Amino acid sequence: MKYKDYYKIMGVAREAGADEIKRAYRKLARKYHPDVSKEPRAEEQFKELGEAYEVLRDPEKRAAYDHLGSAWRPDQEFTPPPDWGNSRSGSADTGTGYAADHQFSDFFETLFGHAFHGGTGTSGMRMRGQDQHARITVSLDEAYRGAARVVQLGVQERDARGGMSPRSRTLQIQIPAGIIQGQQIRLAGQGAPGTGGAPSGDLYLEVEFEPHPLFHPEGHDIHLTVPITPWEAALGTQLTVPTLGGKVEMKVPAGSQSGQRLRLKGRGLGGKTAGDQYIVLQIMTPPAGTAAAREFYERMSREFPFNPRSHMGV
Amino acid sequence: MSEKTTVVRAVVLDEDMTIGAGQLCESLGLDLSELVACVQEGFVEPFGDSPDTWSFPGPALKRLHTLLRLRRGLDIDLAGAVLAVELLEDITHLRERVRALEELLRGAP
Repeated sequence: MKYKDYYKIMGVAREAGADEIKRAYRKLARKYHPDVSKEPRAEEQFKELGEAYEVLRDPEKRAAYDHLGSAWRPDQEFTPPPDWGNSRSGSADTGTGYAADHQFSDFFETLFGHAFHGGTGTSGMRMRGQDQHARITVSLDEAYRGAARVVQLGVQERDARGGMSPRSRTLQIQIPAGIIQGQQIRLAGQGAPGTGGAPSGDLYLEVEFEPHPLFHPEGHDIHLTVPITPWEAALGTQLTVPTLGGKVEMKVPAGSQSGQRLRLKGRGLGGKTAGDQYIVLQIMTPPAGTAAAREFYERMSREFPFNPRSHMGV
Repeated sequence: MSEKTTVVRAVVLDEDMTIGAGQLCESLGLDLSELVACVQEGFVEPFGDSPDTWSFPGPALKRLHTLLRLRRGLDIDLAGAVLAVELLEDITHLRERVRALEELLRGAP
């Protein structure tokens, strides 16, 4: 088990007052709150912060923590002193809910474990298990067609003595067709187990899409850039384009321009009302790589009196 | 430690499904009075006339969950948290747009 330097996590001195600790918490909480933060390790840091604040805001826990002394370094291997547990009272703490969603570290649990955990005296009480929340990454293809996915879940489960122990569970999830980025799916009864024979909670998974090399989803709609030649754009043509459901034929009208958007109705992600696929045309200029090609371009420049900048007055 | 695979069916919390007020409260650890406050704030819109018959569209659960995490984690009041969630949703939407537009500008190789 690693020692945690709660003062360092909160960026305050060991002698910091309660107000200063509260200010530091507020400031860092806004910085690392997982719903707000773009920091890569935000969730982890927010959890650490919640744990640090849980200890430092409570005079009793803080005093017990301070009692360990200041010689410890962060992440140093830690074993509690032999007299630990005798000197502190087992007073319960009802908690503020600041860290209610969080699992504390082994370090915290060892120091402030069950005696300090108020509100968890649920033995013998009938209580539905908590809902749990996680993310699941799916490919666009899986979202379009639906899929069966096998996932491993690391879960904390309450053991017979009321403590929490880690366990892994394997679930095969039937992902329905037509889900979109950010949507939640619910797996009934797959959350934390209940106590006293009460039912388990539910598991909620938030859907995240894997990036796709061609298709860019936006809600139910799909965007795709399709390169075309200048003559296809000028004369119009029939193109074959990929969609999530397979190749489709699409008409490009004569006189199309780069950046122009065409719609393939109902070719996006499904659902009650299926999204559309948008095609953005991108005109590609063939390279003037050979003498013949150069000559062709020169002939065009002579024979096409075309100024694309006329609207700029130049 | 037993290793068995459980097959489960997923329900998508989209606009087509609804969740009852009771289930929503239980799932979020929310008092009905707090849910009423969220409705009065115009944050979520129920179907039905009275709180005991209310039901909510599926996405309400995620919105309320984010709202509660912000309230509890940052210790802000309801109106502030509602504003934060709505701004965050706007930001998410704009980021999605920007990413889609950047991809379109980058275009084909």
